[in-house]
Amino acid sequence: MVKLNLLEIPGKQAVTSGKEQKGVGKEEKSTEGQEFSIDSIDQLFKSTQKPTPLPLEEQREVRADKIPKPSPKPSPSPEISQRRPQKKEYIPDERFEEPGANRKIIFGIVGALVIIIVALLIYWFLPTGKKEAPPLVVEETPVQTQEQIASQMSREELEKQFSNNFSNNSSSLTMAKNLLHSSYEGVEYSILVVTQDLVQLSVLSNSPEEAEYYKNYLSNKFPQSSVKLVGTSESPVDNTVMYLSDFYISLSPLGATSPISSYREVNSNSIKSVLDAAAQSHQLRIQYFNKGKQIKSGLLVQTNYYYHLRGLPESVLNFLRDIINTYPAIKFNKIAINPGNYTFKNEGEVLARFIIILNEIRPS
Amino acid sequence: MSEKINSISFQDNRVSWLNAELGDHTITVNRAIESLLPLVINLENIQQATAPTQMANHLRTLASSHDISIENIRFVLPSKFLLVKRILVDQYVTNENFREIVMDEMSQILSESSDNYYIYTPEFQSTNENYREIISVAFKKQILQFFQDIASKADITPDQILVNCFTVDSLFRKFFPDQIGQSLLANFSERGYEIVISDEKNFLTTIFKPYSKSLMSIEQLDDEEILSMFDSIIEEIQIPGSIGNPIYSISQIYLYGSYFKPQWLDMLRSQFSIPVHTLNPMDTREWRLITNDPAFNPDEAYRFVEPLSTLI
Repeated sequence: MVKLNLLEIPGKQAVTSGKEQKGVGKEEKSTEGQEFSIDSIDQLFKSTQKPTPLPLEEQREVRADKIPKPSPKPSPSPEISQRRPQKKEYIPDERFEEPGANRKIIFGIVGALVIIIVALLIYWFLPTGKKEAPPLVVEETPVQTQEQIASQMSREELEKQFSNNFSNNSSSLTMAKNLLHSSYEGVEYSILVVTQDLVQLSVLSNSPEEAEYYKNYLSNKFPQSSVKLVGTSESPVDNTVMYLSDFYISLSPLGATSPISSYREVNSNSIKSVLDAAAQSHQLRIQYFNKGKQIKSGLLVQTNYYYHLRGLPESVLNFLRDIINTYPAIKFNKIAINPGNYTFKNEGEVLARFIIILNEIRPS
Repeated sequence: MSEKINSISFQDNRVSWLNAELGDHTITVNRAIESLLPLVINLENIQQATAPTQMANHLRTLASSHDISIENIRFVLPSKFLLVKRILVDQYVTNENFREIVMDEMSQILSESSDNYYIYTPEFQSTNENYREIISVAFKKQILQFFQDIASKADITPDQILVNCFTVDSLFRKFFPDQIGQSLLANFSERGYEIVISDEKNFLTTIFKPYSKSLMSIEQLDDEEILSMFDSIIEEIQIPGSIGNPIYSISQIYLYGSYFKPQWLDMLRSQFSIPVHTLNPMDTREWRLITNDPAFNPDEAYRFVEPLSTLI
């Protein structure tokens, strides 16, 4: 159930600009009434998992308790006796307090190992008939270590992911292009969001009927997709009542993907410079970059990034094309494009916001 | 004895007012009022300087003529005054980014500067495999201020100002908790259908569909026009497109509102293959409604769904 009392106005709300939003977020973090977020829960778990250090005074008492006593002393105070079971936790310390015996054992083991290695070397390298033994032949064949096998597997997995990324990215770009390049009289874009399986489109029109016509237009334009007019509501724009209509376009799943023949590498160290260079080459202004969480899946790691650009819509499309064709490690999980003002004009600038996933091999 | 609550529901051109007491799963209606407002609530009228005073005077006249003490006031406003948006957010977004993305997304779809809106993110989370779904609500400050001015001029202090899509969803869930699948609740208001779609767990969406592009009053339309329009809306929501599934799959329809006519029920039942009911709060088995006012006709309790919905 949704409970909303309009009198409970969001605290210090000035949700008008990115800067102000950040400010609000920071303020909320310091207030008592802060929402209990998933991040907060994470923090709680982290803090409970940490071993709780004993108070300094208590540590000193326990350590003092371990010092060998030359002669029996009067029985310790009940307080110390109760703490005696904690002695078990300090066994490693005790071992270091008596290094002599351990060192002898270590030296013994190391010595035995050295003798075995020397014996093996003599056995294999001395010019005897035994040197032709099969193990030498085995050594000559290229044997893959566990690390090499894992690396090869993760590389294959990664390249498969690259193919998927390329297909999904290309499909999203085609959809964005089709929608941005198509114009329909009386209808202006308000926002366009493209994800892998769904397009959300909000448009402004002069009447609800025009939105209905536009729905038919979209259905004809995308016959393989399901176009839904989710709702229309009045929306005052410059003292004129317009209608804001939301459309969902469900996208069909992609078929098999083909392998990528050539590409350029990008990793978490270089992604910002790669994105920035592409943006600048298309005269786009960088508005925002931030790193999100990492998801580790098998041998791969996926890192989320948030990237906002401002500029001409055609430049945004060209930027997307360049990144998609060159860096399949990058997946555009969400592409959101909207005009800076109320309606979308081809000659005007747009704000483009991307949720990006970077795929990399998990560092060993 | 429990305290009396005044629940006042505003629609385009009318107000529904219940003075009631809330007990343990019992609602006792002391006064039930339906009245036309002195002016239609629309963008043009709310900008008139005298509008709040006219509305306030009307409320005070109603209170005095029905011997109601104006205390414990709750206003419920039409959902067409607000913008409700479900926003898909990557579930791995950090808390700081999450807030920023939600608020940024919301502010970008507004047709005016976001300075002109209050943006709420009420408690609601629906998680699917890849995304978190957040409900964000934008309410125009000017409209909220208009209702606050009415209260001020009427010398009353509302405890709560609520929105009907959420309160009706809540009432439906509490009064009829055994519903399975998605339910479509349709309010026949003066200028259009106010639709709420809910499932067993969550409020899903609200949709306003005007009867005509020129926002004609329902009183200017004949029954056939009203019902055929309703039929086409349900079809659009219910019938899948060329491929894939529809966004909503409605299992039952409930109808209510001041302009709903009981004789439409049979006509609509013949049009749809899914069950169609009147949303009559008297039909609940979970709550007991007692009325002390003959104006609250139990057979027509569907007219008072909105003011009832703020009580529980």
